Amino acid sequence: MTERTWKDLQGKDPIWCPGCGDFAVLRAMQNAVVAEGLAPHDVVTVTGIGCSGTLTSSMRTYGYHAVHGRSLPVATGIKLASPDSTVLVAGGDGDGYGIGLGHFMHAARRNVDLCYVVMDNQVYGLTKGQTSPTTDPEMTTKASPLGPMANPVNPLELAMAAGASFIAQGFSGQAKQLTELVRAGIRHPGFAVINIQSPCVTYNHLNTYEWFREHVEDVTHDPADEAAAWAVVHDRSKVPTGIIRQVERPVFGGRARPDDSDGKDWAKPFEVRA
Amino acid sequence: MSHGVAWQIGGTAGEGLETAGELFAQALASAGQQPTTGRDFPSRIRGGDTTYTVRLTPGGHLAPAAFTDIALAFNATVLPRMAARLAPDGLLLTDDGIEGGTPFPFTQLAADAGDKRSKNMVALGASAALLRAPTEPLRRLIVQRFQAKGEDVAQRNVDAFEAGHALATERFGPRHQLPDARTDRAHFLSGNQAFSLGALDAGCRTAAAYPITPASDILEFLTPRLASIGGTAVQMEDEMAALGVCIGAGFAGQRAVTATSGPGLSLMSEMIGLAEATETPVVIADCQRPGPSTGMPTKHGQEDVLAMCHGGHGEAVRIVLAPTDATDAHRTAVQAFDLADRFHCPVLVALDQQLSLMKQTVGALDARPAPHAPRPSGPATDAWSGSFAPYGDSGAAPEAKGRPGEPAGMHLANSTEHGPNGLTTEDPAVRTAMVQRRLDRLAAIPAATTDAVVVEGDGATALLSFGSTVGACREAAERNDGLRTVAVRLLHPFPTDAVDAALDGVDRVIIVEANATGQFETLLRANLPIHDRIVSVRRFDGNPITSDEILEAA
Repeated sequence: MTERTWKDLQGKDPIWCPGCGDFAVLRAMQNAVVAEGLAPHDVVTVTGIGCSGTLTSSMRTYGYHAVHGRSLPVATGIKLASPDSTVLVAGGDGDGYGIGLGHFMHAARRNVDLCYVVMDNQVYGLTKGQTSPTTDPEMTTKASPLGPMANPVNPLELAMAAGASFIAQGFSGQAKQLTELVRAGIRHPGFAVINIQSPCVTYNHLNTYEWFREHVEDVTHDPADEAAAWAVVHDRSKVPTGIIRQVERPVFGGRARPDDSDGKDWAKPFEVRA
Repeated sequence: MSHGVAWQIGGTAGEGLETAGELFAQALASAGQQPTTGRDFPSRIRGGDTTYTVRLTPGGHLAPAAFTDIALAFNATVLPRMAARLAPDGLLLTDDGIEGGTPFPFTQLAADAGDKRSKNMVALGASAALLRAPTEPLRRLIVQRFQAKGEDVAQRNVDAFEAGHALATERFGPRHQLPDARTDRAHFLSGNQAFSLGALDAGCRTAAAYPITPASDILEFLTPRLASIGGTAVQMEDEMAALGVCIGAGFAGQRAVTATSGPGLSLMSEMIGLAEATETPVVIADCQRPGPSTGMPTKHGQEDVLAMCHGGHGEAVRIVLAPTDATDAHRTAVQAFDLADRFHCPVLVALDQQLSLMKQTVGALDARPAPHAPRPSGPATDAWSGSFAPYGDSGAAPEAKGRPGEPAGMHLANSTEHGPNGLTTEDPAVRTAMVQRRLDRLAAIPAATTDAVVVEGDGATALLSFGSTVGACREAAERNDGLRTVAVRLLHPFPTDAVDAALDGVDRVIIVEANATGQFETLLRANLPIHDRIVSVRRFDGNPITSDEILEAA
């Protein structure tokens, strides 16, 4: 059998604009699955809604295209019922840190074994350019002519606060590192969140490839060192890339257990006859 | 006129009223009676007035009594509401120092037996005397209940029971004869418990829910039992997440259940649409309570009919089943999983507060599930290559799909409109075909649903109802010969033909339901030409309907 390549994992062509950062994320996920030696049918890709949500059509694995913000609960159910599958979840900043923020925090603290890839482009793309939870205060849009009028959330700080056991950040302009981050997230037992700076070439003219190239900086600290990780995520002068935090915590669910229901008489305790 | 015998104990929550009521009902059930229980309790943890009612009727149908025959009141504030329900020849015993009833020294006798907290056992003893109920099962159950706290505690409670029995025998003698009915119904449990047992029997191995009254005890029931057999139960952060987990498990080939009440159902409506669009099997119990919004969390209502059948945007395939009693709740759970697997869709099970929480005797719990949905077998096929069309069936019989880990039948479950291969499309012809395919499936469901409508009797006046309200209808028919009862167990898609057949020869249709606007009646009016024959009986004060109210309309 010939060796599998990313092309074997390519489904429908993506609908993204030419130059979109999401192409690199899709390729990184495909490359990571290949590099980890996973068969496509042993992988489930789950998405929500938005430009990011359309990724499931392009990823030739089992797929679940859920509704806006609810990919993580669905992925949790898949992982709990099919513990031997590798469950990848892909979303955007609106999907994960806006409408789905509650699920993000709880999935992180529950530590389900999922690899959650967030394509963070600081803007709502598919609805044509509204502010998102990570939008820079300087950015103005049709719906927010004065800007978002709110502090941007820092996904890495959120993930730290929720106790995520694996936190990384990548940049679509650094494809090789992206693949390595997704591979590490797949291998990590527990909830792995990888925030990926994935520029929107159509609606975000502030946070461009060029802007990111000026601001990204690979981290050098020990991801097991919590205080060092906090220091990195608090430093807003840079966009840190690499594995920021990694720690072993008990994983929710775990391996499949054989069904042990034979001979159970569930109704017995409700018998009333002496 | 009262039907059967109704007994009620009332006082402040925390006084052991539920313990006394449960023990009494269990003892009567073990003696061959068919008790049903009723609880009236406030939405708070401690304090507040609460009552616990046990009824004994020939048919053992789940319905409240219009009148109470024997009432025992522990405080003055609950007294008026208990007195208002007292039958003209009823007996209302009140603890020392409470004006308005026949005094009985519950607290004093308990104190004499060693602990005044045992006054609920004094009440049990007095009740057994008044109803001439066999005392042996009660003694046994009291010992069982309290022996974990020590032999002395158990003995003290038995002593309190004996003291109440002796004094009531001396003062009043037996006041009532228990119904003759002897039953072989061997279990005593609530609808929520029966539903949960049915889920386990159906092979459900994932449960996820968010706490809400009156649904919470379904997850609490399932959690230790699923844990003991390798299943998964998880309390999620909200109802959307709870249903999300179940949908994920369903996609992965596992039978999964969530349980909620009105507010949670509202939150779930988008996720129900997700299960519909992706054709993912999942079972959702809605333990209805009065709304809108928070409404009355601990009270009874059947106000979610239209929300269950039609809530959410768009048009697709869901099934809504409505069991009528605890036995049926068990069977319906099994049926719900079977239908979900067979038609690849969400199945909602309409419970209501009375059915969820009130207990009754139940016969054999022997419903057995059909096998899980078949899977495609053979070599690797997938939707992207065109070798597999997961949604390419005609509608009535959904295509078997692969599950994660299986090379055959790999596909995308897509919330976006999709073609036969599951991939997104906006092609008008494909869209039209996919909608028609879903409608064809809907049309196939009523005929495939066993006992979609259950008819009893052949009178020219029909009592048409659903859910636990059917209990009051059956009781009314038990008291009045000319009535036919028609229980609609499938609320959606509406079993028009079966209801039409059930109404053959009927000139009056009395539609009975626990809401103000006639939501169930709306389904009937939309589907059957019976507008000129309808009488509506509706109650929406937070309490279930009695057979007396129905007989007034009949």
